[in-house]
Amino acid sequence: MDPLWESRMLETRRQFFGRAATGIGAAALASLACPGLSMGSALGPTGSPGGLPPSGPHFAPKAKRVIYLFQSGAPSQLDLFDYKPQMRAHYNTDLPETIRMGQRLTTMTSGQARFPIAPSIFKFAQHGQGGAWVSELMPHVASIADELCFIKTVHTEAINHDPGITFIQTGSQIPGRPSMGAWLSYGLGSENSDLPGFIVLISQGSSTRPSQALFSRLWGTGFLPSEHQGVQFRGAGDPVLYLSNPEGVDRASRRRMLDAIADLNGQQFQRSGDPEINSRVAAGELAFRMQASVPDLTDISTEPDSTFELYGETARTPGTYAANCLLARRLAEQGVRFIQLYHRGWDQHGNLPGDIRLQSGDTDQPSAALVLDLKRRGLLDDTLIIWGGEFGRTIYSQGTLTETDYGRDHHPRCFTVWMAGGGIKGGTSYGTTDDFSYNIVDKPVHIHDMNATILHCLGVTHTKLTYPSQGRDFRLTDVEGHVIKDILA
Amino acid sequence: MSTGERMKRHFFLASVCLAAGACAPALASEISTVDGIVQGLPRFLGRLHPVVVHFPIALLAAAVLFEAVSLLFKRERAKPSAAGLACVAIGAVGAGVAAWAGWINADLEPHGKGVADLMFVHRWLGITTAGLAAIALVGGILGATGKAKGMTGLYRIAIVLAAGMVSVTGHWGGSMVYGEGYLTEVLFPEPPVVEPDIESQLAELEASGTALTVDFATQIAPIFSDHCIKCHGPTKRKGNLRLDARRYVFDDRDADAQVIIPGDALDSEVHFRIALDRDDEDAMPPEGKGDPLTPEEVTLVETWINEGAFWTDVPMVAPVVGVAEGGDSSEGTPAEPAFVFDDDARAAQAEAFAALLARGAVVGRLAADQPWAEVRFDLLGESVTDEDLALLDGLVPTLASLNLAGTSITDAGVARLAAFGGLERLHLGRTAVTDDGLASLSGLTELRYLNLYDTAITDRGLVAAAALPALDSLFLWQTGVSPQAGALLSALKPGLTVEVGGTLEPVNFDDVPSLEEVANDDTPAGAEADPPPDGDDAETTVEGAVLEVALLPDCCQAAIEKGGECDHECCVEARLAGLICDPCSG
Repeated sequence: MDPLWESRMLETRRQFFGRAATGIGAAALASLACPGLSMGSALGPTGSPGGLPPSGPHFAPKAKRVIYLFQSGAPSQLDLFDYKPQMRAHYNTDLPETIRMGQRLTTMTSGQARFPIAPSIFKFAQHGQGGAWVSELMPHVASIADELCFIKTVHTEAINHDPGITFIQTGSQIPGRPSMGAWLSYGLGSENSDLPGFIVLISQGSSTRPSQALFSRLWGTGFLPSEHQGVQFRGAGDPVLYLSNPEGVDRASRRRMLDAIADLNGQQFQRSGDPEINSRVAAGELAFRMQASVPDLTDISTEPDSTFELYGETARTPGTYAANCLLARRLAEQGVRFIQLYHRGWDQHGNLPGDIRLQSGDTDQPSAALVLDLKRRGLLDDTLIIWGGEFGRTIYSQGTLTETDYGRDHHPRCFTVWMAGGGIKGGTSYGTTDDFSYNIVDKPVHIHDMNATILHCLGVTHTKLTYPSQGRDFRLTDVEGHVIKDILA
Repeated sequence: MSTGERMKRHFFLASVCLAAGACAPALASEISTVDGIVQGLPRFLGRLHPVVVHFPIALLAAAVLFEAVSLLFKRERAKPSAAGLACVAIGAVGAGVAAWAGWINADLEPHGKGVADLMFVHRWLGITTAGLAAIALVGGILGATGKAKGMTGLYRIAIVLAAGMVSVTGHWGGSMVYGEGYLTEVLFPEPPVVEPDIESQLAELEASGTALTVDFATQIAPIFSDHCIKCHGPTKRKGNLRLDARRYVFDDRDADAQVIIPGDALDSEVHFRIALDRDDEDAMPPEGKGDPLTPEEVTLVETWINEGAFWTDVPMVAPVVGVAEGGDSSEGTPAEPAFVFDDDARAAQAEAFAALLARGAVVGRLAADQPWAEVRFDLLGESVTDEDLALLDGLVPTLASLNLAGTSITDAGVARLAAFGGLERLHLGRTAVTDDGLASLSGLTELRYLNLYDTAITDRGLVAAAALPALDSLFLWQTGVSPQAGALLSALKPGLTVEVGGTLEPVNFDDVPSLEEVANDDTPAGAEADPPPDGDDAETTVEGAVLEVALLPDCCQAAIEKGGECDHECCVEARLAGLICDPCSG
C-alpha cells in the first residue's frame, strides 16, 4: 500500500478543504504528474512529522549513559535488601488483614487457604558509612554499598511479568510504546556512530525454575523512528547475526551494494515519503560500520587476567551475566548511550532459598565488579547504573512453608531497586516499607517517578521529551512522574 | 525522446502557455526538462500574483468612475453602464485569479515570520474583495438584463465596496513587501528612539514631591548582584534572562516576557519567584544555586517595583565564591571581561566543530541551552597526535570537557591545553603524559575532573594536581603514585576524591550474628558489624600529619624538627595556599 495514498484516504474534511483552497487546479495538476511533490515539503528529510528530534540534553547532564542491569522475574526484596527482623517472631502466622487490606493477589495464590508469613532465612548486616542493609546473598554488592542508593519503595501497577516489564521499560502496561533506551537514543542520539545507541544483552539465570519470556518489543521503538530500536548482541556465535560478509563478498563490494540499494531506496522515498525508508538506509550503513567495530569490541581476549579476577572466571564464557557486565563496561567506554542487560530466572514461586542463592551467585560479583571497574576508570561519575526487577515478592509463602524452604508470589506494592553513578547520591537508602514489606510507609517511588529521575540524570526534562503519534504527544512518563530530588547528588 | 514523452512535454508546455500567456514561450526555452516545469509550476503560478493584482485594482476603481459618470450625465439610470460592467467583468475574474495565486504564493514562497500577521489580514481582505467583485458581477449582469429587481442597486453598492476593499488589500500587500509605514514614513518622519532618561524622570518625580523610598543603585542592585547575577548575568543566561543591565530587563519589543512590570510587583515574575515558598520548585534562587533572599530583601524589591522600578545602570558583578585568588575584585579593579557567546563566538565554535567532525572526533554541547562544548578524541585511539589538538583552537573560550584517553598525545600536546581556561573535565588516561606535562596545567582554574589512570604519573605529579583549585575528582589507578601520597593529597584537600583503584573484597558474613541471636536481641543485627565512623578519624589525622611531613621538602622538614616553620619565601607562599613548595621539592 502506498503510504501517500493511505494518508490521503485518512484526510479529514477540514484538511481537505484547507488543502483544496491552496488552489485546486495547481495542486491537482501537479500531483497528477508528480505524486511526491506535496509530500516533499511536509516531511523533513528525517521524516519526523513533529519536527526534528531534540539536539541535545535540556540541561547539563550528570550522566551521559545508562547501564540497566534488569533482573527479570522479580528478585525478592525481602531476602536481599529490605530487612525485616521483626518477622522472625511472626513465623508461620497469618498475614494480618489490616496489612493486606483486600489488595489484589495473583491467581497463583489468591486461592490459598492461608497466607503464612515466611521470614527471610538469610543473615543481614549494615554496610559502609551509609549503613545500608544487604543480606549475605550479596557479599560483593555489600562491599560497595557506599557507591549505591537503595530505593526501597519502588512500586508498580502490574502484577504479572509481561505487563510488569512492559510498564517499567516503556511507561505503559500495554505494548506498543517505545522503550526507555529508544527514547534516550531518540532524544540524545549516539555518541559513537560506529555502534547503535541502544544495545541489549541477555543472560540465562542458573535457577532451576523455567525463566519468564522476554520479547523483542521490550527494546522496540513503538512509534519512534525504527533506527532507535535496541540491537541485541547474542551470547554465542556471531554477536550480531549476519554481520560477517558471506564467502566471496569483500568489504568493497559490500560498500557498492549498499550504495546501490541506498540509491533505489532514495528514489522510493521521493515517491512515497515514508520515513521508515530512511531508517532502513541508516540501519544498512550502521551494520556496515559495525562489521568493523563489533569484532574488536566483543573480543575480550585482550583483557588482562586481573579483569577476570574482578568479574569472576565466568566472565570468560560469552553469554553469561558476568561476561555481559564486562561487555557493558566496554560498551560504556565506547560511548553507547543505553546498555540494557537482562538476567533471567528470578521468579521464585517455590524453592526460593535454593534458587535465590544460584541467582545471586550469578549476579553479585559481576554487578559489584562493574561498579568498581567503572569507578576506577573514572567512568562511574557519568554512567548511571540501575539494578532491579519488574516488581517485588510477597512476605507470605506461596505453597508449603518450612524452616528452610518457602516460595514467594508477585508483589507490586513495594520492591527495592539500587542505582549508582552519574548524578545519584551513593551510600543512601530511600523510603520505608512497613514491617511486612507489604505497603509503603514513607516516600513512595512510582515507576514513572523512577523513570523521570533516570531521564533527569541524563539532562532530559521528562515532560519535554515527547513524540506525536495518533493525534497526541507521547512521553515515557505518560502524564505523571516526579523527579526524586532526594537521591540526586 | 519517445512519442509518449513528446506528448507529455507538449501537454505541459500547453498548460504553461494557458496559464502564463505571453511569458510562456520565453520561459519554455529556459527550462530544459518536463520535471522542472512540473515541480516549479505551482510556485510559478503563485508568483503571477503581483502581476494579476493590477487588473482588479485598476478596473474596479474604473468601474466606479464609469458608473458615477453615467449616473450624472445619462438619462437611462435603471441599468448599469456598459463600460462599467465590462470593467467589473474583467476586474472580478482578475480578483479571483489574484486571490488564488496569492494563496499559493503565501504557502509555497519562503517568507519571514514578521509578515505572518500582515499576510493573514491581506489574505482575507483579498478573499473578501474577490467575493465582493463576484457579487458585483452577478448583480450587474442581472441588472443589465433586467431579470430581477433592485439588482442594479446591489451592483452599485458592491462595486463601491469592492473598489474600496481592493485599495485596502493592496495597501496591506504593499506593506508586506516594503514594510509597514513605507508609504507615509516620508511624510511623517518618526522621532528617533531615545533611551528613557531615568535621571531626569527621577528628578521630575522629586520635583513633584513624590519621594522614592528605595534606591536602585544602593539597595536593589546589591541584592541582584548577590543572589541573581551568577546565573542571570554576563556569564550564564539561565532561562534567557539577564538582570545585570536595564536594557535586558525592559525590552519593549517583548512585553509579555518582561519579568518586572513597573508599578505592579504582584504581576512581576521576578518578585513572584523570589517570594515563593522555599519548598516550591520554581523558587529563586534554586536550592544550592544561591542563598535565598531575606524577607526584608523581598520587601525591598517589592517596594521598588511598586514605586515604578526605576533602574539606573550600575556595574553589577556576582560575588566570587570558593577559592579565589586574593580579593582584587572587591578593591575596585575591573573584573575580567566575561565571555559572551555572541554570533562571532557561535561561528568560531561551529567552524571548529565542523573541522573536528571531519577528523572523526565526537563533538557536542554539554546542554542545548549553553555554549559549553565537549570533545571526545578517545574513540579515535592512537591515531590522534599532538597536531590534532590544533583543531581545538576555535573552542578556547567554550571547551568544558575533553577526552583524550588512549590517544598518542604527549606532554607537548598537554601543554597546549593550558590555554583552555574553561576546561572542567579532562581525561588523559592511557596516554604518555608525565609529571612534567601535568605541571603545565596549573592555569586550569575550573578543572574539576582529571583522569590520569594508566599513565606514568608519580607522586611528584601530585604537586601540580594539588595546585588545581577546583579539582574534586582525580583518577590515579594504575599509575606510579604511591597509596600514601594519594592519601596525603585527600587529607590536604578535603573536597577532593582521589581514586587509586581498589579491589573487590566480599563482606565476610561469618561474624554477623545468626538469626537466632538476632531474634533474642533487641538491637538490630549488624549494628556492630562496622565500627562507628568517628572512631578512626583521629588516627587518620595523625597518620596524615606524619605523611605530610614525610613528603615536605628537606628545608621545611628541617625547620619543623627545630620547632619552627621554613622561612623560604616560596615555601611560605605554598604553605599559605595549602600546598607543598614545588621548587624545593625538586
